[in-house]
Amino acid sequence: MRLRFLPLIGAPVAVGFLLAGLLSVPRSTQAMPTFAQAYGMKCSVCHTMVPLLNAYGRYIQRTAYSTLDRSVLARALPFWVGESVNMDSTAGAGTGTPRYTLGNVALHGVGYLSPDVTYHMQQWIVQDNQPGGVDTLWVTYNNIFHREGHLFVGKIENPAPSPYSQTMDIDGPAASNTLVGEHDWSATYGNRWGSKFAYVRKALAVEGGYLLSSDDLNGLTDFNPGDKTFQWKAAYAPPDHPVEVGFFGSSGSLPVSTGTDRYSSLASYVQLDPGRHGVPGVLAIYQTEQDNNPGIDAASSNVMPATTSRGTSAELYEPFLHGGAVLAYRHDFNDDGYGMLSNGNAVNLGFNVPHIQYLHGYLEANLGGNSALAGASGGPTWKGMLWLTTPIRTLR
Amino acid sequence: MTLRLILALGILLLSRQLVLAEPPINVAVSNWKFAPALVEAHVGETITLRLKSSEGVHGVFSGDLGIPKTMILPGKVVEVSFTPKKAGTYQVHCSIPCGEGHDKMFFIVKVDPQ
Repeated sequence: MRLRFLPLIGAPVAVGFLLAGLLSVPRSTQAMPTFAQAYGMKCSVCHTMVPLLNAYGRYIQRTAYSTLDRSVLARALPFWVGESVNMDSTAGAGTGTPRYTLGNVALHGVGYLSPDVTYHMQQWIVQDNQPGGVDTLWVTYNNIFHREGHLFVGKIENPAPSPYSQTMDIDGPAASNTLVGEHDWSATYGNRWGSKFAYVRKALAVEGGYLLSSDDLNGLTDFNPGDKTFQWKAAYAPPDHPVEVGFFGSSGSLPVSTGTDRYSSLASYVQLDPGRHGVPGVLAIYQTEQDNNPGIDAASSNVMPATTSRGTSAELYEPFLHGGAVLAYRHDFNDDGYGMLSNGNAVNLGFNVPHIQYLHGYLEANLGGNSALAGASGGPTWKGMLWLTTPIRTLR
Repeated sequence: MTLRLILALGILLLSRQLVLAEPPINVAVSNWKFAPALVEAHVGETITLRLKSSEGVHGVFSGDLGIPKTMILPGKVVEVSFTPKKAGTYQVHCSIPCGEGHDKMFFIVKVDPQ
């Protein structure tokens, strides 16, 4: 799930949640209830703060859950329900009216279909108070190269750093948010229909995938969508050490009003999980992209020449309250290659709501810069979310 | 008379067996360790481990020692018995992927000659 796509609750409500969180003793809550329930494990085994994954959790993610024990997972019902309530102080543009949404319900399913096949699905029942679509729907065959190869098919998370799909930030790292003419990088990094092969051998993680439409279920058979991309990632990512370093990139084409934009990107990243003795976690991403035909500039109606754009995100995060809460500061910088420079600063807080198992709270303050997210008054803008992830049935 | 003899013999054998049987060894299981980390045994001696996990699902298995694959559920006691056939030092690893410390989660069984 990508929190940034979730619409969002009001500052007073969110601050109330925050105070409730801070004034109480946190307790362990659980992320994917099926896994946590079946294993009887705390969320911290896989998560720094739900849903942000630690090194071991990322290992489980990129191996399509096939490194979990099938007989253990069979103890729990593979389906669970997620519900979130959200606030966004920037919604209702110009009216100053905070926007609250209560209707965000999704059905999730994860596990094994057979000894060699795993799956993950997330179907929105209601999303942003509207009928929901398919967020995630993949199956993976895992018995390739001595079970070190994993072939994903369906609507999948693309080959990119894990925080692009699993982040505790409501808006997530913005390194991929540059808009270049008619090409929006962020569209490249959402879940899309396609296929991906991942080879994971100890600390080595290599992924390559061909990705098509990001549409709902009808995108399954859309073999000629606008944006078609080959994406890849190569990383040093030991599952038992809190570090991941790697490169990722893409090569794709996008129809634009002036023909076809052929683009390619190259990026590097490093992710360090928070350590003991107060060592903070770090996520740093630097991306460059070349667009040979970005199309028409919406403001001037001029044809835009080929260009190279850049995006950077750097984030520090620090757990406190014995891991029951994590505070993060993130700086983003984007350059569209035509002189448009934008940057943003955000503080994020994620916490386990005390005494209510499976309930997580999030609060985000965008502090300005010249980001579009910054408040017009120069003060911070706020987003908040409460996310309940609950199993449907008790253990067998 | 014969019946009494048979009963007495049976009781004697049973009590002898009870006396000779080693008491179970309690093994505390948690993320990601077994305690005690060392179990000592002798060839031909039947050892019973009484395993209890305080957190998480774990497991034990050893083909060399004849320990069947056994799942250890949190909060529940499970017993496994085995009789070593050969002297040596054996590592018994957690048999269920259980987290970042799984690869280093094991205990040692030191089997001495009879």
